[in-house]
Amino acid sequence: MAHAIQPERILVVEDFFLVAQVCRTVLERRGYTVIGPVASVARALSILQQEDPGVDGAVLDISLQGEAVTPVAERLQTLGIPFVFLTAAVDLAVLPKAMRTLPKVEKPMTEVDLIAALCSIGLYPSTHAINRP
Amino acid sequence: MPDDPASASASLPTAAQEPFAVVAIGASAGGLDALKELLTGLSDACSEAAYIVVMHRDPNRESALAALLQGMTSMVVQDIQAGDRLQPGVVLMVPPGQIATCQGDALTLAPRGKRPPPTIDLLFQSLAQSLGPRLVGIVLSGNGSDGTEGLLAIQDHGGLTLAQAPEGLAHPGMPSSAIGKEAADQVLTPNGMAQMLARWLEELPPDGEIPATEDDEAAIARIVEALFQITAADFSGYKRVPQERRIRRRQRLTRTRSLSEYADRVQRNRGEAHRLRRDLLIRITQFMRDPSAFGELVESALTSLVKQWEGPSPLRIWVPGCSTGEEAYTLAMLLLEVMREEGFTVPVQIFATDLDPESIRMARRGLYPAQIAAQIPSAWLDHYFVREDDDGYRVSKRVRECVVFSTHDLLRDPPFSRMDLVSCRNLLIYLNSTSQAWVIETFHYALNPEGLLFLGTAESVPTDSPLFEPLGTRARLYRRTDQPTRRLARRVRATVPNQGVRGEVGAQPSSGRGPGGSNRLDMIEATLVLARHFAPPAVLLDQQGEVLYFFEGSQRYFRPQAGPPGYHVLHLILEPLQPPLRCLLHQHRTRISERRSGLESPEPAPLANVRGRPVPEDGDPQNGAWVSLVLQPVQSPVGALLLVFEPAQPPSYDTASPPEPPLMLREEYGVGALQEELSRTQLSLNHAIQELERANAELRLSNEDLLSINEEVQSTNEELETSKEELESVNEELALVNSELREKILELDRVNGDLQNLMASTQIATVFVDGEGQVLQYTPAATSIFRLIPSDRGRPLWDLSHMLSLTDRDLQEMIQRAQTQADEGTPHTPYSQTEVLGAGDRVYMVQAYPYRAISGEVDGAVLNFIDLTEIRTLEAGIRQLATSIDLFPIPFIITDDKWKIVSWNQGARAVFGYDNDEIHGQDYFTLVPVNQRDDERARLDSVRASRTTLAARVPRLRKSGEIFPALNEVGWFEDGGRIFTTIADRDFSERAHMEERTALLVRELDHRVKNTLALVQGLLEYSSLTAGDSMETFIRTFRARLQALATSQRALASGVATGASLRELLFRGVQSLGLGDRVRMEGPLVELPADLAFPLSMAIHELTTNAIRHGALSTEHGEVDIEWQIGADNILTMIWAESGVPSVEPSDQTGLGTRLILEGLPYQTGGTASVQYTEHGIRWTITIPL
Repeated sequence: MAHAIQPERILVVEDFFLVAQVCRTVLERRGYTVIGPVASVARALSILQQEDPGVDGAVLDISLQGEAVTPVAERLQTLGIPFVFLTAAVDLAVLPKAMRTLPKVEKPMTEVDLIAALCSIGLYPSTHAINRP
Repeated sequence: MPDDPASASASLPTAAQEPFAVVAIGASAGGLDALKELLTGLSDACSEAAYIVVMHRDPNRESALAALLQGMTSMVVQDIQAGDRLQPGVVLMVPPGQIATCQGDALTLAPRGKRPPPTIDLLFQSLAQSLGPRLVGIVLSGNGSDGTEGLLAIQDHGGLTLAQAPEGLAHPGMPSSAIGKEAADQVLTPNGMAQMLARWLEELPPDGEIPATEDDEAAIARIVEALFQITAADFSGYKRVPQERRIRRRQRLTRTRSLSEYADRVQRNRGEAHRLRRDLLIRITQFMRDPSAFGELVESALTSLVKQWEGPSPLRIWVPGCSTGEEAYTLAMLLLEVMREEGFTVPVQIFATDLDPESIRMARRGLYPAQIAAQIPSAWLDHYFVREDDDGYRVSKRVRECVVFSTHDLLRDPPFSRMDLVSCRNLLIYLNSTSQAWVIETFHYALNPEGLLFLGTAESVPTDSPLFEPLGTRARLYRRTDQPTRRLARRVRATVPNQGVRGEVGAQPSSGRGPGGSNRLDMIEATLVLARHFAPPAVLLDQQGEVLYFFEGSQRYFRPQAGPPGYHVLHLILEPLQPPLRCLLHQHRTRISERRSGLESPEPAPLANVRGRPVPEDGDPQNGAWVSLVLQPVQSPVGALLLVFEPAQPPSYDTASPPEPPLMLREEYGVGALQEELSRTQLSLNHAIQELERANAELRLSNEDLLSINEEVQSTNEELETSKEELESVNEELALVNSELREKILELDRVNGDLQNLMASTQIATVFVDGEGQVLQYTPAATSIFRLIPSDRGRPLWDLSHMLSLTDRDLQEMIQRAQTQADEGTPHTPYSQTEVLGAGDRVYMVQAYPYRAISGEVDGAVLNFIDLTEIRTLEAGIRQLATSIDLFPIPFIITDDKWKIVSWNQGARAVFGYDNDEIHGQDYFTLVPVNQRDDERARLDSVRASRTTLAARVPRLRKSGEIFPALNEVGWFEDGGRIFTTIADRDFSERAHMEERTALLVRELDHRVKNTLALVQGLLEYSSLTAGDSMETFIRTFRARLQALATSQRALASGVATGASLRELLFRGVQSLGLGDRVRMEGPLVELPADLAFPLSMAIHELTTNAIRHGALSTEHGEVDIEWQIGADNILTMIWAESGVPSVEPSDQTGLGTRLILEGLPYQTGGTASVQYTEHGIRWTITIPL
C-alpha cells in the first residue's frame, strides 16, 4: 500500500540559503523527508559519518562556498547511497571526470527537473504526498 | 702464363671417375637474371657437366640464391661446403664473402679480405690449371673487369670461354672488358650460351688429351706452315704440347672433325688463320708478376745500372715478348723508383717488342682496367698512373715516355744491340730447345759486355752455356760472358735477307737452328752415324783449308804442332803427309781458278790419289801404313772440302828388291863417263837446289806477307760485317722510333685540335703572354676586353687598348708576379686575382697564372678575365633577400632533409634564445619539448611527405627550458635534389595566456549568472511561500530585494570580482533609501569575499527594510548606529543598533525578512545572528567568520 511506504530521506547540501529552502519546500511538498539542508562539506560529512546516517538519497550542490562537494559524493558512493548534483553547468569542471556523468539537475531548477532526477535514481515521491493538493 | 705449363695435364681426375666437363660461371650486378635464363635454357644433356657459380654477393646478407635458382633447373643447386668436390649434375654456388679455388676437382674456401679481390679471376685461374680443356668459362653481366684474366687463363689451357652480349645490359662492364681483351671465344645471350654448351659438351673428347697420331703430326706441321704463309708468324719453334692444346681448342670451336680437317680450314680461311695465330700468342701478363723476382732485380741489377751509368747514351733495356706492355711498364716504374731513391735521373730507353700488333697497340695506349690496383702498390698508382673515369688507370706520361713499343719477331728479325738489360720473362718456356738456344745466343749478341739477362722463374740458361753466367739464385738473372759471337753474326746474315731459305746447315752441323732446322739436323746426325761406322776417316775443310770437323777415326793422322794454335790442316796433319797434301791443295786451288775462268766443268770430282806414309804409333817411319789422300769437294754454299784417308799399297820402288837398271846403261856406257856426268849433274842439281831454296825462302817470305795482308783483309771484312749488323740493328731501332714518333705526331694533332676547339668554344676571355708580356694566343672572348686582332700577336699586352679599370702598370705587375711566384715553387694555383671594372660597369675577375712549359719552366703567364657582372648582381639580390628574411619579425628556420638546422633568422634567435653558432647544424627537434619530440617528428615527416603546408599549435622549447605554445607553419623547397624545409614558429604564449584568462572569466561569469538566477528563483519561490501580502506588496518587496541583490552585485563588480568592502555594502544599502544622514557607520576596512558579500548584503537589505517599515527610520528622528570590528579569531562582529523606535515589539520570527537574517545568514556564513529588543531600540548582533 502506498501509505505504508516510508518516505525517502533526502539529504540536501546547498550553500545558498534561499536555494536550500526552495529545495526543502519542493521535496517536502512531494512527500520526501528532508535532512539538512547543510551549507558545507564538513557539515554534510558529519551527518554521513554517523553510524546510521538515516539518509536514502542526496541532492548535492557542486560548489560549496568555493569548495568542491567531491568528498561528500565519494562518501555517498562508499555508503551506496544514490544522489543527484545541482549544477550551474560550468562548475562541473571541479568534479573528478568519473563523476561528471552522474545524474544532475541544472540551476535554475524547476520542481519537475528535481523530482525527475530523483526518480531516475530510484527515489520516488510517496503516493500520499503526490496526491496532496 | 702459367709458371709451369706442364701442370695443365698433371692433375686430371682419377682413372676411376669418368672425366666430366666443368662450367664455371662468373656474374655480378644484373647477373641473376642472366643466370636464371642460362640455367633455364640448359638441356638435359648439359647436366652431365659440373657447374660452379661465383657471384659478387653481399657477405653480410644471408642469401637465398641457391633456393631461388633451384627452381630454374632439375640439377641440384647448393652452396659450397668445405671439402666439396665438383660433381656432374650439381650446380655449386660460392658462398658470399668467400674465395673459392680448385685443386684437382676439390674445392677450397677461404674468407675474403676487406678489399674485394677478383674472386672470379681467382676461381677461373685455379680451375683452368686443374681442368684444362674440360673447362668452360662464362662471364655474365656485372661491373668492373673481374673475370677477364680468368677467361684468358682458360683459353690458355685450352678451355672454352663465353661472354654475355653486353648490348642493352645495365651493367656491361665485365663482359665488355673480356671482349675488349679478346678473352671471349663467343659473345652470346644466356640462351645462346645454353645451346652452345649443349653442342660443346656433346663434342667433348673422352679425355682432355688425345694421343697424337701420325696424321695429327702432319696436320700440325701443315697448320704451322699455313700460319707462316698467311700471317708471317712462325710457330715452328714453339713447344709442341701447349701448342697442340690450343690448336685443338680452335678445332673444336670451329666444329671441324679432325686436326687434318682443321688444317684444311686454316689453309683456306685467312680469318681462321689469324684467329688461331692470336690464340697461339701468349697474352697473359700482369704488373709486378712475381714481386720477389722483381725485388731481386732491383737489388742486384737496376740500382747498380742507375748508379754506374756514365752517359751520354741512355740506359737501354729490351723486353721481347712484351704482350700488352705490363712487364715493360713495370720495369720503367721500377727504374723511376730507383732514380727517385738515388736522387738523380738517368735517361732510360725500354724497347718493348712483341709479335702481335694488336697487343702492341694496346700496350701503346697504356690504359689498364681498375683491377690492376690489386697488383700495384698504391703509392705507385698515385705516382705513375692517371685515373680515368670509368675505364681504369692510364700510365702516366713519364712512364710512357720511357718505353718504345714495336712489333718484332724475336726468332726472325735482327736483334737489337748494345743493351744493358734484356728482360724476357716466361717466353722461353713456350719455345722448343733449339729455339731457346737460338734466342739465348741472340740475347748474348744484343747485350753489352757485362749486360744482364732477366728470365722468368721457370726458365734458365743451360748451365753448360758459356754465353751467360748466373748472378742470382732465385730470380733468374744472368750476366753476359765475353765469348765471341762471330758465329752468331754469320748465321744472322744467312737468315735475314732471304726468307725463302728456312734454316741452313751452318759451318757447324750442331748449330743448325730455327725453322725447319730440326729436320735437317736429324739427317745430319744420321749421316754422322753412317760415317762413324762405315766411312773411311776424313776431315771437313773449308776453302782455305781450315779444319771444320774431324770425322771418326781421322785423329790418328793429326798431331798438334809446336807454335801458336791454328786450324789449318797443314799445321795439324802428320809431317810425312804434309807434302802430298800440300800438293793436293795446290791442285785443288788450280782447278778452282780454272773453273772460274771457265776452263773446266763445274762438276766437282775427287782429286787424284796422292799417297803418303804417316808415322805410326811406335815412331818408326819405316813401319807406317801407307794411305792415299783424296780431296772431295762438298756441294755447299761455303764450298767445303772433304779430305779422306784411304788405306793404300806401298809404292813398288820401295820394296826390298829394287828395279832392275836399264840394260843399256850396264853395257854401252863407260862407267867413268857416267860417273863424271853424274857428279856434274849432281853439282848443277845442288846449284839448282840451292837457288830453288833461296827462291823458295823468298817466296815463303812474300807468302807470309801476303798471308798477313790476307788476314788483315779478312779481319777488316769481319769488322765491316759486324758494323753492317749493327747498322741493321740501328736501322731497326730507327724505324721503330720513327713509328713511335708518328704516333706521337698523330696524338699531338689530335690534342692540338682539341685545344683549338676549346679555345674557340670557351666563353672565358683568356690571353697567353710570354715572358715579356707579349701576346701569344687568345680566346675569342678576349676580344671583348682587349681590341685584339690576329696581327697583335707579339705585341706587349699593355700596349693594347682596353676598357678595364686597370693601368698598364698593374697589368705588367700581375704578369710579372705570376712568373716570379711560380719560380719560388708555389703550386699551380691562381697567383694574383683582382676584380676590376670594364666597359658598361661590367665586373671582371682577373686571374694570372704562370705559363709552364712542358719542361716545367715558367715562361710567360696566362690571364683569365672572368665576367662576374651577373654573379655580382645576383649576389646583391641574394644579400638583400637574406637580410630582409633575417630581420623579418616572424621566427624563420631552414632545415635540410635530415631536419638539421641550416640557418635561421633573428626572429627565431629572439624566440628560442640560442646563438647562431650553437644552433647551426643541430637537430630541429632540439626546439621541441623532450616528451613530444617523437610525436612532432612523426607529424612533420608526414606533413612533409604529403607536401602540404599545415599550421598547427604545438609546444616549443626555449634554451632557458621554458616551454611555450607556438604556431608552427611548414613550407618546402628543393635545391640540388635535396628537400629543404622552411619552418615558422610564432610565439603564442602571450595570446594563449589572454585567451586562458578570458575563458576563465567567461566561465566565472556564467557560473555567477546561473547562481544569481538560482538565487532569484529561490527568492521568488521563497517569497511566494510566505503569501498573505497583496500582489502589489509582493511585487514591491520582491523588487526591493532584487534591487538589493543588484546592489551587492555592483559592489562586487567594482571590487574587481574578488569581493566587496563592508562599508560599501552598507553605504549602498542605506544610500538607496536617501536617508544617509541618520545612519552612522563605524568600523575598520573589511574586504568581504563574494560568498559572504551576498548573504550579508541581503541581510543588510532586510535590516534596512525593517528599520524603514517598523524601526528607527519609520519616524522622523530615529537613528541607526552600525558598528563593526574584527575580533581575535578573525571573526567579524557587526552590531546594528536602532534607537528612537516608536513601538518595540518582537517581529514575526517567521517573516521572510527576519528568517533571512536569523537563519539565512548563519546558514550561509557559518556565523551567528541574534536580536534584542529594548524600550526604544532594537539591537541586531551578527558575527561572521572571515
